[in-house]
Amino acid sequence: MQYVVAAGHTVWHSKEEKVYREGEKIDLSHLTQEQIDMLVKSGVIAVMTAKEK
Amino acid sequence: MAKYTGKSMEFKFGTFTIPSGSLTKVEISRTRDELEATGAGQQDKEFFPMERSATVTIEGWDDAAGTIRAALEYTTAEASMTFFPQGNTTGKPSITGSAFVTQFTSGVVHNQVVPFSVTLRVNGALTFGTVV
Repeated sequence: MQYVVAAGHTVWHSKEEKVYREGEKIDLSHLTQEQIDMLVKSGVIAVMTAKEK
Repeated sequence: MAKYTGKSMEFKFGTFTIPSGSLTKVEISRTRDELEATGAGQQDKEFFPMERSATVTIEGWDDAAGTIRAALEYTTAEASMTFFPQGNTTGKPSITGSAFVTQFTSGVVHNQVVPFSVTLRVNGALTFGTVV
C-alpha cells in the first residue's frame, strides 16, 4: 500500500530526517504495520487512492 | 486530556543532537508584533496585528569536552532545528524550523555543575508536525 500525508497535516520523517507536507507521497517502510495503522487511524497519514497514484 | 513530562524531549540543531542527559529545558517563545491605532475619542485601544516571530531558549548541563558549545556557538551557521517535546517517537509531535544562535551563556560556579543556555532566533516559520 502507498501512503500520503493527510490534508491539514505535516510530518517529520525520522529515517529521512525531513519534513513532508499534506498530499506528499511518503515511504513508511521503516514502520511496523501497527504503527502505520495508528497513524492512519489518527488521521495523520492517508492511504493513497487510485486517482492519486 | 493526557498530560506529559519533558523527560523524553529531544532537540536537534543541524546534525547535532543535544545529549539527553545534558538537556534540561527547551522554551519556545512565539510572538506577534502589533501596531497601536488608537485615535482621539476612542475609549478602547485599537491594534493592528502584524508579523509573527519566534525564539528558542535551550538550557542544560555543559560538557567538559566543549562538544555542546562547539555545536551551538554564536558563530555557527544557520541550520535546521527540530524539537521533539515527547521524544523522537512515531505519532508524537515535532516542531521544525530554520534557526541561528544569537546567544550562548555558560557561568561557572564553585562546587556546582556548570550549566549552559543557548538562544536561537527562528528564521521564518515554525512547522508543527507528527513524527513518522
